[in-house]
Amino acid sequence: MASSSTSVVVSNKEKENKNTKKVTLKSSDGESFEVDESVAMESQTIKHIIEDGCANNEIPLPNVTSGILSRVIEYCKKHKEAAGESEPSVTSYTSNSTTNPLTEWDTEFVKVDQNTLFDLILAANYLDIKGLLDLTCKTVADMMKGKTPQEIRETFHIKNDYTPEEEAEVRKENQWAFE
Amino acid sequence: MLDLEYLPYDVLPDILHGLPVKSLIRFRCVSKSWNSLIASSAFINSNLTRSHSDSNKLIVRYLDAKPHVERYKLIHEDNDNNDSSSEQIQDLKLPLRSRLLSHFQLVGSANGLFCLYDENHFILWNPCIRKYITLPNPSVTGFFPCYLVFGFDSKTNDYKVVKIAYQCVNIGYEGAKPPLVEVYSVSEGSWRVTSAGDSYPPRITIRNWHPQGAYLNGAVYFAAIDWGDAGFVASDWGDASSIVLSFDLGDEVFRVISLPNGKFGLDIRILTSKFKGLLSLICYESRHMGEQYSCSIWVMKEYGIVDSWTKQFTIELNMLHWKVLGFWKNDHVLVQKMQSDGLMLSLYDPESRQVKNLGFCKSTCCSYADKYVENLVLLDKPNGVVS
Repeated sequence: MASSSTSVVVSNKEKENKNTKKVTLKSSDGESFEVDESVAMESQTIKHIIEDGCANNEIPLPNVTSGILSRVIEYCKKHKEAAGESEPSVTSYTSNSTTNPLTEWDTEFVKVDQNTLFDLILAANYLDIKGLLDLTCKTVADMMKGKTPQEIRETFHIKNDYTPEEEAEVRKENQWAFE
Repeated sequence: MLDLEYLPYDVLPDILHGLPVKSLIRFRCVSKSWNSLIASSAFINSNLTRSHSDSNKLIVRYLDAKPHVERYKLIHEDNDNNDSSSEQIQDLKLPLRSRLLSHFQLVGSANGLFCLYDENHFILWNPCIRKYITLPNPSVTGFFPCYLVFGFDSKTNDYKVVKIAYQCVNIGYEGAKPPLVEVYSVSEGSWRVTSAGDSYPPRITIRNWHPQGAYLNGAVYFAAIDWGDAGFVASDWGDASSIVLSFDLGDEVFRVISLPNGKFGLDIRILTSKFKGLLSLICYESRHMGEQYSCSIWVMKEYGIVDSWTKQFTIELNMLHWKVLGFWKNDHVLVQKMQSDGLMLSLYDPESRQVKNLGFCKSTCCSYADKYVENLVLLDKPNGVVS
């Protein structure tokens, strides 16, 4: 017992030392966010920028607004904490709820309006944050489950490029999926 | 607004992979580009690893008593320890009847794809997308016993059917000709005679003809006997030993895995299986014919290390005529019990030694039960015959 608490103390100290390294991320609308480098490196895109030595004072992220960036940073912070002081981890959403302690937090995190959800997908894709991408994509998939093709087209503004005959044929071939 | 068209093209597959197969098939009707995405081989291949198959579903196959046809059912198994909380949810219908017999033989299944067979006629069936293909006939035909194998080659993302055709009756004899091995690959769409027979070790006979050997990590494993220098009279079996023979679906080569000396005599009925991702042996032992038997589960903890074979646990059920069908949820055992009027599928917990009944069927014949896996394979093939 004593030895394990000692090692926790040691690693906290290590944590403090590592955490002094910070990086600034700048959103498309000009807002700056200072974050721990280790948290920022949850994003593979940012990780490569830093490792390539291209991060000077600030890393500009022209594709991400401040509203979205702040949420992304919140996600990364939470997941980094949960993973401990090891390398930036890739916490995949596909792990089931009994093994992923953040499932409840994640579920609350994606309770946002659909526009925000889509913007989070775009940000997670651009910033290459696997866990966030898996989580947001799965959320959209859950919204789609059980819908008819017409409902999908309406919800997501997809153009139907089938002719009525073509559509009838594809539907007939796959009729069982509609039952 | 919410325009999926604005999402980068590589994100749409990530979203679609989170959908169950039935929704994916329905969404082929959304638009032509969705249809070509869903039916593309890249999407089909990546869907298997990304899919969120319900881990509580079992697919069960049995031969019905009257009429003598094969049936497939999906059972939902509630993982908490309630009694009778499993529920039969669906009947899956095999869209074909065997032309010659009342039912096909099951060669095997991999990732939810089934390989069925009758008299040189092979079918690959994917029940979750209701698609099947009929394979062309292999070129190797003959009078002698042949062994059929089905599995998934993870290196090439390909499903293969293997026909091991022996060229004589007594394979175990000195100087017996090696078998001819022909392989059908789904991606090639044809059979190909291979030189795999060259790697078939001499004087080895495969023991478990039915069901097929265990499939894991891209190879299929069979319980076998190495006759060594032994003759075929029982008193002369001294030299013969039990081994495991493997066939790698990637490099198409046979290999031998030795078993620890003295632990697996020829009088023990051995079958290969997969337990917690490791190669395992199911061993039935009884002192006398017709007596209740015990069954031990052995696992090779370190691949290729003979000394790492370890007995995990022993199952003793106070009854005759039961067998292990496989493993479920890590270490629970799927067991089939033969009753006077049919078969009972049950789940045995080795820790608590409790048996939970999952479902009964009026069947007379050996069944199959395994985790139900949803897989899009064969979606891009036309239904029916492959030329």
